[in-house]
Amino acid sequence: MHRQALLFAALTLLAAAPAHAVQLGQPQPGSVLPGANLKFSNTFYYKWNHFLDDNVDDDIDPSADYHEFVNRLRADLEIGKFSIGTQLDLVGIGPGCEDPAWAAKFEDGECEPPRTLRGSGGLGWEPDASPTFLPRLEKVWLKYRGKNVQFEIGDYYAAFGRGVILSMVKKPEIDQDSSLLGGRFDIQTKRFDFTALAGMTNPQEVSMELRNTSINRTPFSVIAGGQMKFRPVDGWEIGVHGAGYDLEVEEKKGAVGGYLEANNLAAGYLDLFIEGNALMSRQVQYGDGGEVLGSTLDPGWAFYGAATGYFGAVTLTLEGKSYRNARILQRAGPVVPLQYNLPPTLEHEASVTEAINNTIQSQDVHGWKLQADIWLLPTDTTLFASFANSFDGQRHPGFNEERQIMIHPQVGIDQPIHLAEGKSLHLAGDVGYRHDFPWQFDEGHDEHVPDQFLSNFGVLHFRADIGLTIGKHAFEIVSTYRRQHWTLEEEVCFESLGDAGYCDSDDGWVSVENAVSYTFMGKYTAALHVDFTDDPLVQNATTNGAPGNLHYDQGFKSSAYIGGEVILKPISNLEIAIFGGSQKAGIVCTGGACRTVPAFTGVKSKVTVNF
Amino acid sequence: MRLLSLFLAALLLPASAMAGENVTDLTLKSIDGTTVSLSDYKGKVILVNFWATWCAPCLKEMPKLNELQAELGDKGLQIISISADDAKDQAKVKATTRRMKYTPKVLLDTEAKALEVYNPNKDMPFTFIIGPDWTIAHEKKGFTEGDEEKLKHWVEELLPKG
Repeated sequence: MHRQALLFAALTLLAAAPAHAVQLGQPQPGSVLPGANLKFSNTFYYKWNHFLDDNVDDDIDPSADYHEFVNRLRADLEIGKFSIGTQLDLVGIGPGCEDPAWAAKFEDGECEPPRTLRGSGGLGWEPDASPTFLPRLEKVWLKYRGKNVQFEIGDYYAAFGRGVILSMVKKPEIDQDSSLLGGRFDIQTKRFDFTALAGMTNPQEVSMELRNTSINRTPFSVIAGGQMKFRPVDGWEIGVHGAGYDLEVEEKKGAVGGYLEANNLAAGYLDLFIEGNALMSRQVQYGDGGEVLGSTLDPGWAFYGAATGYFGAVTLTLEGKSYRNARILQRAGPVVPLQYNLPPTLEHEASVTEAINNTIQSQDVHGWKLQADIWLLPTDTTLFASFANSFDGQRHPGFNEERQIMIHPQVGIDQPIHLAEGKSLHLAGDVGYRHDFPWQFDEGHDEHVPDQFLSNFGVLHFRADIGLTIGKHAFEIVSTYRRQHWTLEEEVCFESLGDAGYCDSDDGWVSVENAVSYTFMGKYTAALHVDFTDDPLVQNATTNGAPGNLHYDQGFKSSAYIGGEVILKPISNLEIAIFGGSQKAGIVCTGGACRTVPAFTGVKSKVTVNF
Repeated sequence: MRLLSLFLAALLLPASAMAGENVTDLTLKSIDGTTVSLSDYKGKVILVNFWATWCAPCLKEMPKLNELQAELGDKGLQIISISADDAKDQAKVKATTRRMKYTPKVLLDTEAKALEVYNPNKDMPFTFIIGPDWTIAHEKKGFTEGDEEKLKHWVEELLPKG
């Protein structure tokens, strides 16, 4: 494994060097390709996974520690209006059987590494491939960007309308990158746009956030679609779009829709947007022997609208949605939900729990949200308040046992304070509470059950961000708190929450995350993280959780996680980050997309070099 | 030792990853429904800033950019803020910028086209400055209080004197 580590380091450094040797970017005598730009971005990542003993009395040793090395190289060569590029990931774990110290443990039998990169499902991996080293050509692309005509071959991203039927955009901040591998053609003019695309879904397999062990290659889905936009006058846009999906899970789906967008109505006081989509899904049923029994057609719809009014210091935004059988299309996988579409949810991320699909991504939901933003000029204060209300017609076992009505008020403030020359304070915070009332359907009648009123589910969430700047010194404290409560009539056991099951009556859970940081000159940051949770879902095996790197322990009740981090950016093309300590498992969201990251105890470091 | 030398040599080369590059033009939709190309402002000093509604440092930087646009707009500066929010969050983008009385141009990159060209790692916020000669002069990741002075200095260096 030491040789692999050296190989990785060598690749990291050597890959970066040629960018400077040829100086392609400068249109000067001696350039290899005058007028061309060659860009490299290389990230090298090392993680030492340390396993704690979850029960010192059981005589069972904790798993062996292991190391992960990931190198991500991204190169893009631009020549005029063309660009060609690739992303190559290499991942290695150790120790492996070539490590004498590890191999010595297997005197009497065949050596097995403590962890293997490839999953045991045999899903497309070469049988003789190394279990501890995996190169992956994740992305490759050729693009032409003319002023009115563009085309892309290879990996590309796409979104139609507001993302109801298609939204595949990578999210590097959570290391989520699902692209379409195929072709895309665009015509773009002042009044008219046209897009046609087709491709296979191509999720990024190697991760810098998740554990790179037991990676299973998943079958791809095929997506094809088109979109036309027409802008008859400035500020107005009419769009129509359609897409067909041949999903990896033996399902075919089609969607057609359109939207109208009108800006600056009523003398600039109002913007409107409305989108409607008709959905059709065909699912195949199989018998015990795998024979096709038949198929069912399942129609649905997805409507979304938004109106934004501007009244001096006050901005009002009203959004509404009505989804029926509007399923999130995503790659199958327990911890890597890679969505192919991302409809507006109207929900605050702060109330998202580890059960992502159950809280914000229901496929059968109708609701609205009104938000007011108020800017007080004399004090430079921004206040906001929102109220969301929805009816969720889908049951979510393990989270909500019944259909539900949700209400969610939230208020917040953002207050910059100028203290003196070079000294400032910034305060921001918000608090909200979401409650889900059960709504039971009985004999075809909608019937609210009074004795279950206030007896189901709620999330209280709070966030505070305090920043103090004194010259080149910046201090920040960020604290978030989430409290979910269950108030069931009696203890209920849920089999869906992992192999061990989970029983609960009314205790809910608490999740607290605190971070204190100091930054000098905007370049050097030291931070301390102190987190706490007793959330059973965080500890659950399916979320790759558990405290530190302990295995799932049914008796576990709570745990604190303490970690320190140093981030150095001495020059703009180099970033070095080192983390040591424990990090709790849990959900990380950005822009409405979420992924569940595993717990971690150990040391991880990341070096990013851009050229 | 050779590897170490290579690594150190790489770091000592120009600090700005994109500095000196010719600018790749892009056309995106603005929040008021029109289409805008970077080349529409060719000849000016263009400060391009990537941000998102979920990015707290971005929201702290935007009032500073607003002040910069007000102060130097008449002298030849055009700030273009590119929202990296998803398509589903466009209503939030509009509300945020209107709430701030944000005067720079705001473009929507719902399909990550601009991100792929200029900021593939999706650093937030991320800023680069295009000079009147249509090359990238400076770039900067992140924002902490006081960074606005550095941006102003960079812009003033590129603006026509007098």
